[in-house]
Amino acid sequence: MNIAIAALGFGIVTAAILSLGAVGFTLQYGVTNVLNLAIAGVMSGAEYVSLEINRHGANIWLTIAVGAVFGAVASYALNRFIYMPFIRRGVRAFAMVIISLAVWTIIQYVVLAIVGPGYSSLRVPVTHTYSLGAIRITGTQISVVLIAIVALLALEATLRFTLFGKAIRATATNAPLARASGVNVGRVIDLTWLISGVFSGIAGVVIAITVSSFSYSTAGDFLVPLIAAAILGGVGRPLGAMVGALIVGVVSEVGAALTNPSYKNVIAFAMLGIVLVVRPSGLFPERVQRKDVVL
Amino acid sequence: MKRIICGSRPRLLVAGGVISALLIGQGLSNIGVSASGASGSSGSLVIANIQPFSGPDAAFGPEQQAGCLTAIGKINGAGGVLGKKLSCQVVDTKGDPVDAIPAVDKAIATTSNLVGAIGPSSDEASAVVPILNTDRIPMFANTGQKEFDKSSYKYFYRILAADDSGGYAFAVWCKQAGYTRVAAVFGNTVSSQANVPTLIAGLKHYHIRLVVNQSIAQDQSSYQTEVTQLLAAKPQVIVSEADPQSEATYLANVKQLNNGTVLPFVGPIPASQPDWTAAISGAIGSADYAAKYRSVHPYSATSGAAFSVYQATLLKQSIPKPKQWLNDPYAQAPYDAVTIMALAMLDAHSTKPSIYNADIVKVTNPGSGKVVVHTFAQGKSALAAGHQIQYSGVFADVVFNKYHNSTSGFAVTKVGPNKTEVSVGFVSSANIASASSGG
Repeated sequence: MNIAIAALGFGIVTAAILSLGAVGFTLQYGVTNVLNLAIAGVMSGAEYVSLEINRHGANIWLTIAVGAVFGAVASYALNRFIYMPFIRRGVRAFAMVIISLAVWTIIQYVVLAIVGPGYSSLRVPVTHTYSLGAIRITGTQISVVLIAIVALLALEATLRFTLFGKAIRATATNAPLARASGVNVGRVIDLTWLISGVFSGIAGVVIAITVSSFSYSTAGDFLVPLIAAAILGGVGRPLGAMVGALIVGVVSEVGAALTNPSYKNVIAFAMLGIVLVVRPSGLFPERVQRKDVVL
Repeated sequence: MKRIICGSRPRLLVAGGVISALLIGQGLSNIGVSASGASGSSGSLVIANIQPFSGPDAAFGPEQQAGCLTAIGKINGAGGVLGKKLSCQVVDTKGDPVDAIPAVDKAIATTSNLVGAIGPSSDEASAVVPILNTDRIPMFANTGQKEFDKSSYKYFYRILAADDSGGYAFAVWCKQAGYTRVAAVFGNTVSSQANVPTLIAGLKHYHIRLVVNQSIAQDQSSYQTEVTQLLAAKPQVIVSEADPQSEATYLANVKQLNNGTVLPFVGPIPASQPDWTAAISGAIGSADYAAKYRSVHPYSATSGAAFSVYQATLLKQSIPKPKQWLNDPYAQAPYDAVTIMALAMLDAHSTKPSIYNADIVKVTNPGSGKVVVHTFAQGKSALAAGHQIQYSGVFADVVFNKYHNSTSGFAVTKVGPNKTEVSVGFVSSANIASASSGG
C-alpha cells in the first residue's frame, strides 16, 4: 500500500512535467487547428540552448527562462516561416500533420548534426529530499510542480479574465465570427504560438532536469504521452490537458507500483483507450467542432 | 476562418515539402555520422558497418566505425587487398529492425563491391543476419544474443562474448566481490534482456540472492516508483543494462531516494565509454561514478604487439577524439574483424565473399606449422611467402568453434583519472564455464 501512495506522489511530479508540454500543445491546437508534432523539436532546441547558458554559469532559473524565450521565438518562427506559407496555399489540417512530422524530423537531425549523439546534463543544485508519509520528493521536484501550477494558473487566469484571453477563446471557438467581431485574429494566432512556445520551452528544460542526462532524441520520447494527455483532456482545452497529464502520470506510476514496471506505458495508454471509449472527445471536449486550419 | 480548396498545386507543394524535408533530414543524418568518419568510396572494397548511428543506441555505430577505419588505414597503408583499397560504409539501422531491413537491403542492392560487414548489433541482428547470410556477406556481429551461440549461418562470425556469457560474468563478479544480495535492473529490450536468464542462473549457482528483478520501460521521466521498490529490497549491488538515458535517470533517482548515496552498480558498458560516462556521471556526479560503477565487459587488450600497432594507427585517424576508443572492445573487435576478412581474401586469392568466407577460419584458428602474425602487413608477407597463418590480433587470439563463435574472458574495470579504463579484476572463460555448469 505504501508503494502505491508513494507512486501517487511520483505520478504528480510526472504529471507536472507532461502538463507543461501538453498545455502548450493543446492551447496552440485549439486556436490554430494545426497538430504541431514539431513541438518535440522546439523542446529539444530549448534543452540545448539552455544547456549552453547553463554551462556558462547561469543558474537554473535563468536556464529555464532562456528555454522559455527560445521556445517562444522558435515556435513563432515555426508558424510564421514554415506553417503559414503552407496554410496560405490552402493546405488542409491532415496534410499539416504530415508537414509538422517532417519539420520535427528535420529539427531532430539538425540537432543531431550540431550536438552529436552523446548525452549532456544540466548543472542543477542538489536539493533536500522531503518526506511526506510514504511520499519522498526533492526540492527540485517541488520546484517543477510549482512551476507547472503557477504557469497553468497564469494561463487559465489570462484565458478567463483578460480581454486577450477572451480573444483567444473567441478565435478558438469560431475564428471568422471573432474576426467579424473585431478581433485581430492574426495577432491572436501569433501570440498563441508565442505562449505555446513558452510552455514548450519550459517543458523541454524541465524534462532535461528530470531525466538527469539527455540527448537529441530525449524530447521526442515524451511526445506520445504529452499528446495522450492533451487528447485525454479534450484537445484544445488547457485545463483538460492538465487533468489528462495528471491521469497519465499517476496511472503510469501507480501501474508500475502494482504490476511489472515494464507495463508502465501500457497501463497508461490502456486507461487512455478506456476513457476515450466512454468519452470520445476527451474529458473536457470542445463545444465547437472545426474542420480546418485557421489563417 | 479562411478556407481554400486544395488544388493540384498545393498538393504538389505539400508532397514536395514533405519529401524535401525527409530527404534533408536523411542528409543531415548522414552529416551527423560523417562527423565520426563514415565514408564509403566507389571502386574500393566496401565493409558495411551495420549499426545504430541514431536512436537510443546511437553510441554503437561510432565505436565500431573507429575500429573499422583504423583497420582499413593499416590495410590500405600496406597496399590494400589484391590491389584494391578498402573503405567502411555506414549503414544506420537506428537500432530498430523496421529501419534496419530496408537500410541493409539498400546497401546490398546499391553496393556492388560490398565484401563484408561488421555488425549487426543485438538491436537488429535477428532480422539482419538472415539477410546477410542469404546474400553471402561475411559478417562479424557484435550481437550477444543467445540464438547465435549455435548458429547455423555460414557467413556469421562472432568474436565478442555472447550475452549469455555476459550474464554469467556478472554473477562471477558478484561472487568475487563478496555480494550476497543482488538487484537486477534491465531495460525491456531484446538486447538488455538477453543477459537476464544467465545472470539468474549464475547467481543461483553461487547461492547469491536475487532480491529484485526489474524489467524497466526505457526513457521515462522518472523511475522513482521502481527505485522505491528496489531500495525496499535492500540490495548490496545493482546489476543493470539499459540505454544511457534510462540508466542515468534511474541512478539519479537511486541517489535521490537513498539519502544521496548511490548503490554500487555493475554493467556491461566499458567505464570510459564516452556517451555512457557523460550520461551517468552527469546524473550522479563523477566521483560517485568512479567509486560505484564496475564494468564487466569482454576483455580488451591494453598491451601486446597487435595492440601497439592498433594504438599507433587509431591515434592517427581523423575521427573525433580517437583516444577514447583505445581500450574499447567494441572498437578493437571490428579492427580485428576487418583485418581477418582482408587476410582471408589474400589467402583465398579472391575478394568474392562466397569464396574467401571459407578462409576466415583458416587464417585465425591455430594449426601446426602456421606462422603467427599480429598485423595485416605481417600476414600479407607470410602468405606471399607461401606460409599458412594464424592471426593473433589486438582482441587476443581468435579461435572459432564450429558455430563461428570465439569467446575470450571478461575484464572488470572502473573509470580512472583522465577517463581511462582501470582494471580491477578479470573473469576468465573457465570462471564462466564454472558458473554455467550449475545453471
